Amino acid sequence: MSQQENYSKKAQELASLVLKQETRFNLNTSDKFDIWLTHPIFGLIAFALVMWSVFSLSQIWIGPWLSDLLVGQLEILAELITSIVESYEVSPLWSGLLTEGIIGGFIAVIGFLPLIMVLLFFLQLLEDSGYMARVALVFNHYFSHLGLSGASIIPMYIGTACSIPAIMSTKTIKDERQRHMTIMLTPFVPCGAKLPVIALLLSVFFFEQAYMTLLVYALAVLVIYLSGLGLKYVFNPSSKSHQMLVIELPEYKTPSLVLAFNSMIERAKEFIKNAATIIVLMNGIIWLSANFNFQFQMVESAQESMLYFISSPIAFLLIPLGFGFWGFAAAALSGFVAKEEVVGALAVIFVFSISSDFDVIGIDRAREALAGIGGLTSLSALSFLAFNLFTPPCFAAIGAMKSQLKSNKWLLFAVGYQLLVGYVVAMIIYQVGTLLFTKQLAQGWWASILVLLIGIVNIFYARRKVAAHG
Amino acid sequence: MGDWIVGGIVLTVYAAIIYILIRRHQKQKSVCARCLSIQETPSWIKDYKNEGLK
Repeated sequence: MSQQENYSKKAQELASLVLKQETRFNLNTSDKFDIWLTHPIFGLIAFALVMWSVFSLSQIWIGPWLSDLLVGQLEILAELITSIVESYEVSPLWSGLLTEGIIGGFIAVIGFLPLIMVLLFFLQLLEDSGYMARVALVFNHYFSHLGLSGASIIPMYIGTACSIPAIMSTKTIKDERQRHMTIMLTPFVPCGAKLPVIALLLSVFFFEQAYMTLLVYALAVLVIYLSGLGLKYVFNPSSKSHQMLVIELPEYKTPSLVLAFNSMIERAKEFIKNAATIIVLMNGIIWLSANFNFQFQMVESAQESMLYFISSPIAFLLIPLGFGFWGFAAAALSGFVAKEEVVGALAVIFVFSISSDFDVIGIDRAREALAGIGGLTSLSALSFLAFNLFTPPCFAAIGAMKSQLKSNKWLLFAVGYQLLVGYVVAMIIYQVGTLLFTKQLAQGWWASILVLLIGIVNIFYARRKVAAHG
Repeated sequence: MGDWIVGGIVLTVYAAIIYILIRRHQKQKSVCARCLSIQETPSWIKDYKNEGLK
C-alpha cells in the first residue's frame, strides 16, 4: 500500500468516526424533528396533515367569513350602480356591459380573494418556520424515481405561486433533458391563479369539505408523478448527470406574523390589479361575444351569439369529459389568458355571483346556474376542474416555456403533452367515476379509448424521435 | 343622455385598462411582472439558486 493510499484510508476512517460522533452526540431538537419530517413516508403524512389544517382554516373557517364581509359591501355598491343605470333607461349594450360584464365578473373573481389571502398567510407562516424546506426534501426522494434531480424541486415549489418565475428558474438545471422535463411538469402545480377556480368549483359542489382541496393537491402530485413517468420514457434522462439537492436546512423558528401579513397584502394587491385589468377586459369581451352575433346585433338567445359559434366545436370535443356545454368550453378557453378568468367567464356566461350570503344563497345560486343550465354534476365539476388545472398554463407561462425550451418544436411537444394530460385526467375522472357510481358507460366512452390510443402512439413516436436525435 | 354617460364610463374604463396593460407589457417585455414582483423567494431557495448559477 502506497503512502498516498494509506493516508486516504486513514482520512476515510477519521471522516467516518467524525460522522458517527456527530450523529450520536449532536442531535439537537431540530434534527430530531427532521428525522421524522423529512422521512419519505412519515414526512408525506405530516405534510398532508399540515395542508389539511391550512385548507380547513382558509376554505371553511376564516376565508368564507371574510368573503361574506367583502362581497357584501361590493354587492351593495353594485346594486346601487345598477339602480342608477336602470333609472336612466340606458340601452342594454351599455347597462349589460357595465353591470354584468365589468361589475359582475369583477365581483365573482374578487369574492375569492379572502380565501386566497388566508391560504397565502398560512403558507407564508409555514415557509418562515423553516418547514417548507423539509417538504422539498421529502419530495426529492420521489423525484429521483422519475429520473429527475433534486434541482427540479425548486421550480415546482416556486410554481405554487406562479408558473412563470418557476419555469425561468429551471436555468439552474444543467442536464438538458431533465430541464425540459421540469419545464413541462412545472405548470401542473396549481398556481395562485388557479386557486379561485378550485375554490369556486369545490365550494359549489363539495361545500365545506376541506379534504377535497387536499385531494385536488394530492391529484396534482399524482399527475406530476405519472406524467413524469411518461416523460421519463420519452426523454430517458441520463442518471450520470444526476444533480443532487444540497440545501442547508434552516433552523425551525417561530414565524413572523408581520412578515406573513405583509406578504399576504402584497399578493392581494397583485391579485386585485390583475382582476381590475385583464379580468375586467376579458369579461367585457366575453359578455359582448355572448350577447351579440357576428352582425353585431344583440341576440335574444345565447345560441345565436358569437361565443356560441366559437366555442361549440370545442364543446363537442369535451363531451367525453362530462361538460360538453358551450359555456364551459368558452370559460376553459378564456383561462388561457389568465386562469382566474375561468371564474369570471363562468359568472358572466351563467350570470351568477357568490353573493354576500357566501355560505348558503350564493353557493345555491351558483350551483343552480352551473348544474341547471350547464348540466354540471359533482363528478363533471371535478372533471372540469382537472381539465383547467392540467391543460397548458396561461399564454404568459407558455411564453416563458418558449424562452426556456429555446425551440418551437419542443414548445409544440410540451403544449401538446400538457393538453393530452389535462384531457386524459379529466376523462378518466368522468368516465371511471360514471362507471363506478352508475354502473353504466358515460357518453363518449369510445372517444376516450381513441384519445388514449392516440396519446400512447404519440408518446412512442416522441421517444423514437428523441432517441434518433440523441 | 344616459347612454352617453354610461357608455362614456364604460369606454373610459376599458381605455384605461388597455393603457395600463400596454404600459405593463412594455415594462415587462415577455415576462409577467406580476409574478416576478410578488415572488418573494425564500432564502434557502436563493442560496441554492446562487450556488447553481456559479
